[in-house]
Amino acid sequence: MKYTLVVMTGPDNGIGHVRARGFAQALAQQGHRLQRVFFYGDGVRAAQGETPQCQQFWTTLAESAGSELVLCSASAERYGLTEPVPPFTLMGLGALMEAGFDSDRIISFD
Amino acid sequence: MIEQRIWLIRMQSAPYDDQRAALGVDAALACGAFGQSAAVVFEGPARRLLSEQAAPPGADRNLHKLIASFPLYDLHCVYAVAEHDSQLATEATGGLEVITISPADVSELISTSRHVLSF
Amino acid sequence: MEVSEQPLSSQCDGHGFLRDWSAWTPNIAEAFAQDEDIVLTEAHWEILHLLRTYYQAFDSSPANRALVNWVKRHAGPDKGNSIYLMGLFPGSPARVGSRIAGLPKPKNCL
Repeated sequence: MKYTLVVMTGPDNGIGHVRARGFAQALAQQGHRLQRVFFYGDGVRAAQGETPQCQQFWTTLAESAGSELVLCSASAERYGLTEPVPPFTLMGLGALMEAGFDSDRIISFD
Repeated sequence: MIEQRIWLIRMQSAPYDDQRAALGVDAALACGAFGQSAAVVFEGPARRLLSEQAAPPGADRNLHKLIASFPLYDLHCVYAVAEHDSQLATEATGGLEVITISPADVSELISTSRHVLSF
Repeated sequence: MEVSEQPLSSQCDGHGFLRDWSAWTPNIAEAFAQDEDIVLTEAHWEILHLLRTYYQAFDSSPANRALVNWVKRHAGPDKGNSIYLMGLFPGSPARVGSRIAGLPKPKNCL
């Protein structure tokens, strides 16, 4: 199955982000394809240098699983993330809508 | 009988406590803008988005007004989940139809929609 | 001709959108239109005014689909269609038109 995850909470804010990380790892272990992680709202803080361990987790995952790491551009602008470090990229909500077609399942974490 | 759709957007948060309600409204608008069918359901405290016209001072955007633009995105109706048989007063939603449904209908929506996003 | 006290750029955000929509004047519209290589005609003004009534009603700038429907509702189907609007505001009628109409940059990324 092809998955897209939507992550709406920051790395240090509640358990949503932690659950998303666990889920992403489990997908890889079970041989599913994680196509894309869409960071939305507070979730975009995953790309901030202030939580390097979280940033590293997603970067490593993107490299090993070939997943796109997409920051919602409007949310990213709110946090001053105008030039995120690769492999994080900025895209609009169109990227989430595209996932509606190309992923079998979209799971949101809030 | 509820029409089957690609997206189910569940609005569950109080209107202006955090960004969540705004993220949900934007996701619904995105479905409309990109021509994808979506059911938008207002549950619990999120139902206030349909009834309260004013936004608190300092709010980024008036979400009630944004929701009133749904018909222009070809989202012509939304669902509100009934609570304690109370009637939900919905005001000035610009021709947007609000359909009251039961918690059982929400379960049906969940099982018939391809993707579910909760806000 | 009325001359603005401040240079126009100081009234804009980093993306070239007017910060305060109430500060908009026809002169500002002409200046923005010039940036976009558009010569404003009566037909343009009609849409610019509809964009401003849209903003007032919905506290947001429209995406293209919503602009088409809004124009259709208020000016009929001959004008409420993407071909007509693209002819007036090439590229993205909603984005280009909203900027000339003095609306702020959208807070979402549709």
